[in-house]
Amino acid sequence: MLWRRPGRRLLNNLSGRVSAVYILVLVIVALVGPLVISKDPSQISRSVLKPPSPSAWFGTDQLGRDQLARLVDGARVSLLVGVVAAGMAVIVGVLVGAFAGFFGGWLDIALMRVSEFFQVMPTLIVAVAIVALIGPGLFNIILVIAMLSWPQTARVTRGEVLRVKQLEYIDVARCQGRPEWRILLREVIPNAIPAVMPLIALCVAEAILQEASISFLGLGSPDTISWGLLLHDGQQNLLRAWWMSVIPGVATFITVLAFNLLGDSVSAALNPRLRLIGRVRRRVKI
Amino acid sequence: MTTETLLELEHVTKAFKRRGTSEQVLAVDQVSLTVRAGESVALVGESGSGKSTLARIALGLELPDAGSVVLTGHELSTLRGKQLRSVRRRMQPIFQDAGASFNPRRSVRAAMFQGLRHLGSDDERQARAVDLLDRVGLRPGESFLHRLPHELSGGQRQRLAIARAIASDPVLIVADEPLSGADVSVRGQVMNLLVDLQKERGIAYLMITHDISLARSFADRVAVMHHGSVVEQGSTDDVLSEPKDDYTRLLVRAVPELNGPMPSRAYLT
Amino acid sequence: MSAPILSINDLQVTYHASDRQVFALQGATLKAGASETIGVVGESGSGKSTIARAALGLLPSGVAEITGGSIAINGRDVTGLRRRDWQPLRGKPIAMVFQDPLSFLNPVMRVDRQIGEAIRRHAPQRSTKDRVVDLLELVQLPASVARSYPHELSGGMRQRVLMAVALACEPSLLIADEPTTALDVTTQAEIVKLLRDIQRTLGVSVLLISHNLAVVAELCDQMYVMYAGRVVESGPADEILSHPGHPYTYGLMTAARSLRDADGRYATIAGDVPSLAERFVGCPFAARCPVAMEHCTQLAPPPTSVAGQANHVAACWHLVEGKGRDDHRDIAGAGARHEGVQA
Repeated sequence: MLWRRPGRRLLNNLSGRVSAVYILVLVIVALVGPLVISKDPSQISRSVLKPPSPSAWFGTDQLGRDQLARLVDGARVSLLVGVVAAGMAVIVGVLVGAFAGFFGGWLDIALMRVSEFFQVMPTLIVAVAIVALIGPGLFNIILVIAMLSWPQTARVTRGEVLRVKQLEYIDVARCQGRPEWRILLREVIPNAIPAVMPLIALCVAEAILQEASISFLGLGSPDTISWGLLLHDGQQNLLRAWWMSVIPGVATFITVLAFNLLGDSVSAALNPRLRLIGRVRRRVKI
Repeated sequence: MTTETLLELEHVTKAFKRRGTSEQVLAVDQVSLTVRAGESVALVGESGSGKSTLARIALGLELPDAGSVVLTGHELSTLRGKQLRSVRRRMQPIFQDAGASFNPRRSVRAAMFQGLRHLGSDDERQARAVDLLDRVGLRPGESFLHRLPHELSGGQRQRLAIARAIASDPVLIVADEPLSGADVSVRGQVMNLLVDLQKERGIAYLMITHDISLARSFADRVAVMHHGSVVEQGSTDDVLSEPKDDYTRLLVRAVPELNGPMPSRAYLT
Repeated sequence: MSAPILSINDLQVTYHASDRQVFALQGATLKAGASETIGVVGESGSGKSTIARAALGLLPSGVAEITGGSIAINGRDVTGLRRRDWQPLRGKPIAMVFQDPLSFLNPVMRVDRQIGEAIRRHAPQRSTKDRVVDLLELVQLPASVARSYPHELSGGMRQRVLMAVALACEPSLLIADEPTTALDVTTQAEIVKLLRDIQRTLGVSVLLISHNLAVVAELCDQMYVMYAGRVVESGPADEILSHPGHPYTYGLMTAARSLRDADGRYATIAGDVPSLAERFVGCPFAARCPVAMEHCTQLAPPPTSVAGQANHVAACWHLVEGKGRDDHRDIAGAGARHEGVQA
């Protein structure tokens, strides 16, 4: 019930609508694309480094593999990394932030110092270092990205929990004799989540970018096709085959931009201040 | 009237740190106050007098730095966990901002069920919730169950807050400025409801208010708070008609009141 | 007789929101002459704030629409005035004081500069320093306040500063929208007293908008009672307070007293304050009125003089028809019987 309005507002907003549609299309392409495109992304052929043409729309790479097939296949991995890493980061962040904000005291201090520790680390360098230590692998990359991106969610959640926990319905729940952890779970967290919603999309964007960076540096698994890997290959043939860099680069750029715009639109749709501008009636005392 | 003591605050003191400094501000200073079964006590004061902090301490939402809070014979600070929670259920709050005292994402039904957890089944709870809604004048109760709090008017929300409070069969209701969100023309509805519930169920009230005329008409006893201390307390007549304390006198005099006899109704003559 | 400073005639204002319309004013008439104290009483959603905003051209553009009636300032029709053309009319002849002074004062500017700016806007060449001190004295604040920032002051002091800013423009009408609502009882009394002093010493007219009948009764000579976007009763305050002509006024007066009758019950009006999502055809109070008649909901009653006083009018069919006492029972008693029933 409470979600209908923000949902509608999100779709009323042009950049929200465009980015949502783009992401939806991208997800569909990533899921069904490999079935539609007959070419095998790993199939080596003799027509190497061919520019885009009717037979290979996005050209071929140094081993004669079809770039379109590779791009579509890579979309799946990039999205998977983005969504799973962001999901893990958000879950950890929300839990840490909620506990810190709700229980306060030494727990708050300890958790926030830990989150600051993760926040001040130079993300890419640390990610590279850890991947180098624990080995490439898709799951390792996801773990590293998640580990480095939860603090932001934690801080936002904590702030929101601090606001919600002093509202009167929390006191009412206490007076009704409800245990603290239930109050946290049933009353506080659900009302703190809307503030975190925009971060989820931003987190996905960041995770996609980080995965691309790690793979670009050649630390991804060479068997897992991802956009970062395509960029890595492209960089090796930068002067001979521009399409190998430009096409995955543009795809990454647009996707990251789309998730960022979606995040902004979500926050605009949820932000009570901005909401008032759309519906001045509320702001005006009648 | 029975003389059983429900709530007894003794020498309660609470200090807060002023933001950004180590300076302590005494919000409540050595306050003693009792509420007996079935009576209405008004705690009167202006903003910053400490009356709301005292209410929170009485409700067990805030721990006093010194002094004791005894509810139905149990000292709150000695209780823990389940025991504390079950004692506390006998005392329910009604807050001034009926808007903020409901979880905006939960329906009226969910809000009512919270207070009815002691009942066995959801069917029982549902029936009871409808009864209570009817009782507070949200009729028919069924039609309100699936609404969200913000869909109700200020007066309706305050009555819903009362329904929720009486759901757990309290012996004492602590009402913090219960009328501030209600329009003048519907205040009487809320007050009559409180008065009726007192008659029906023998509920005692501790009402926190800045409204002297309300305190005068509602309470058996009045305590006046100023700068964290109770400057005067006693029976309503004694305190508000012949105030002994300078501050009480100032407060009583400052209240703008409609004086004179009730008006005649011109169009009926 | 010269034209009144402010004259609002049968004003109708509608707010357009994306999903609904709010008929905030549905025919409100109000006049403010020189050196008068006028009170506008109403509950939430009665349109009392809208009327104040309309008088200063502060209705939110694009959202609010004046659908009928007129506003005139010093005899000049300003109903359809564009935003820019309002500018010279604000502050002088009409200035406004709001409920929440903190949001109308600049938090990073000292008090003297804020008052000084208001002075310069209306008299650019004058030196402001002495005038600031005079104004602070007028609102009974010590001269030292001039060097303070708004957050260093108490609520009552801020309200006084806001009054000084308003008075710096030398208005002939000061509109005060719920100036005491956010304040404590003791401070509230001081502000009301200050408003009265200012009215007497400067001879400005004061238009006080309040939900608090007692405050209006204490300060005002003239009174307007608003309900659901209309003025349902108007006239000299003491006349209205002693012979209310409209059942709503009567109900409000009994409810505002916080008194209990012999049965220990509080006076109240049944039902809820109406939302302004509908346009009332008949009397807007009919649904809650203990003495409503059948045609009350269908036909709007015309303003009718009460108790033979030409300047005291109320819009109620009972006044028009002059029905006798036998037909209608005690309003308070009927009110108690209706109580709790949802309209």
